[in-house]
Amino acid sequence: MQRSKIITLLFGATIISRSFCQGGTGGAAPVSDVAASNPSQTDNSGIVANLVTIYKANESVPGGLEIFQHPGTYITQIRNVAAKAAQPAATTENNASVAGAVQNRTDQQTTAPAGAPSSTSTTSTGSTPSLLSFAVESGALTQSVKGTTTTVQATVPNVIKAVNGTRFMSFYRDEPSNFLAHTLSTTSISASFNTGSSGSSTSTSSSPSTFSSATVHVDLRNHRDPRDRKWLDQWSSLSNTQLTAVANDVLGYEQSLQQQMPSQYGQWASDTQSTLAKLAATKLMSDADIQNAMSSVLCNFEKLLYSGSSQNFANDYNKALQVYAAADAAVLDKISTSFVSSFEYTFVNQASVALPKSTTQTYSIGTIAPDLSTFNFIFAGGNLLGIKGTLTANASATLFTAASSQLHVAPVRDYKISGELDLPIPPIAGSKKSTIDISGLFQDLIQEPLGQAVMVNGVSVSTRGNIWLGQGKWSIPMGSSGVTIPFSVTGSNRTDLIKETEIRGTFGISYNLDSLFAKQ
Amino acid sequence: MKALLHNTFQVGAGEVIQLATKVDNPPLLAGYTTPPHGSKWAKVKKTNATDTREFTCPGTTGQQVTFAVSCAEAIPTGAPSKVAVYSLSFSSLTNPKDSPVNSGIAVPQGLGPISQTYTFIVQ
Repeated sequence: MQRSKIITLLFGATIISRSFCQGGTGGAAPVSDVAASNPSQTDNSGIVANLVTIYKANESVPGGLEIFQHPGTYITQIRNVAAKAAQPAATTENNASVAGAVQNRTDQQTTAPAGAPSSTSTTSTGSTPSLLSFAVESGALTQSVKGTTTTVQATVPNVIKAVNGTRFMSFYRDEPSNFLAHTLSTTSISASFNTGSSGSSTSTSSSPSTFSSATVHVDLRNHRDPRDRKWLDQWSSLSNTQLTAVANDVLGYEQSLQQQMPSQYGQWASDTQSTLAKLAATKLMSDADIQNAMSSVLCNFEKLLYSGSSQNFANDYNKALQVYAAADAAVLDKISTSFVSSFEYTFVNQASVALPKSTTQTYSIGTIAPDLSTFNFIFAGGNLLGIKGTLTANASATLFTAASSQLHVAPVRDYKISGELDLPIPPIAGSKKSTIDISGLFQDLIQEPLGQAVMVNGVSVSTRGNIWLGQGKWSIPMGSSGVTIPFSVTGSNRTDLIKETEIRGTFGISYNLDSLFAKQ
Repeated sequence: MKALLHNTFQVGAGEVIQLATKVDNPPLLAGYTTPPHGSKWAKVKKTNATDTREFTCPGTTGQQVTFAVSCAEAIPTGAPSKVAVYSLSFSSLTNPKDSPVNSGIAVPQGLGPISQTYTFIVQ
């Protein structure tokens, strides 16, 4: 029988209504009717799923399962699920943390760098993954496939450690004491191959055929890893203040229950112990067994310790969790927007590229295109001058190398400076968060491209001379349907680089309202 | 020091207990009830992945020391392990021959903080 009672909880400004016992004690059926009426209201299956994950993680830890004897464990997961549900959808997709924590290193680039052939990037990002998904299963390399280009990438010490079978984390702890290891840990290498056929982004079966390009990437300054020692004081402060408050208040909460509701607390503790003992004795324990046990304990928690006014005992603990989550998110935001500078060298092999007809050169048929070397400095930072946003800038030069004696070319093909500013825009009139991207590029194309095309705004450029292009783009998400209305303005001294539908002089404007009406 | 059930310990009057915490997936994010009920922390030392501290048990039989340890994580995306495992080792500095008692808390990514409560009863 389903219980009809709906409990109202207050988490900050979010009111959550739920019953943890709906679906019976043997299951974890979602409170779909409640959830459907309010997106911020989540089902109890999320809480049970969290508890199952925690159970499995603690199963082999000495004394780890004792946490299920503490009411605070259930309060934390109730709050975690509610906090996650309250996040905007776009944020939830990217964050695993309850705190809305920005644990993704947004500056990582796993596809071919901007200077490499087949790259779709106009601006290289600041760093490469410090950890690679181990060739692809065993731990040596990452591999990505985009179109007909396969890119494999590695950082030197992680490959060594993967081959040795040493845990990455123990390496990371030890690494700062070793200058060579530390230097190598900031270096990554990648190579791209033309496979001649498309594959999925996670393909591991592609067989590289022709060497296309190679890149060495060195982080000159990068502290965007939460484990970096630079942030030790920040984490220590978080532990000493907000997390200590959590420890104070969880103890206070549990002691309040013991003192104010001794019989109910005793009953719940006894029932929980019995349920966990039965679970532990289950032969060939399955996830369903754990889920049923957690559902039962959670339901019993509600019945005995978390109904009506007894919820008030958890108020201080809930506030402490909320304060901790906010402080944790602030630290992670600081880390994820810290200044990064990197150097990147890309070599492009054009040995198999037949030179096209040139307007400035005379050479015989079959002349091989010169190889290319690109030197690129990358700068990235966030929250500059108090503005919440991310700025990425590149300064690069591309040189012809190993040119045929028939070609009369100067060493430098082009110089380029580019930048991109991503500004998050707060929700307007109930809409979701949006982002304004402002980007600019100046390129001095000194030599005619010989081989690999010079791409600007998705357009191949072959005419020598200066190129400038500026672009502003605002994509506004509409409701929860995933529909966005894009507005963009592009200006350039070469009108063929402007892809907008309406062009006025050197500016183009585009807006697309079709997507809005298509789904309504 | 003798371990009883459910994170409860039997200790002697005035016994000095050392708590050593370490995490396999740094940074160490651990909060301790401060002060612990019935005592106070002493000789606290921290690194990126460890925390060591001591407390002295009360001198009267029947009194107790109680505290909670709340653990969290800051595991970056892409790390091979999605769990931070905290190992807590309790040892008696007064009676070093007593075997240390080990406890632990595993915090899966995004599901912290997770807390344990420990009680030391003077007998």
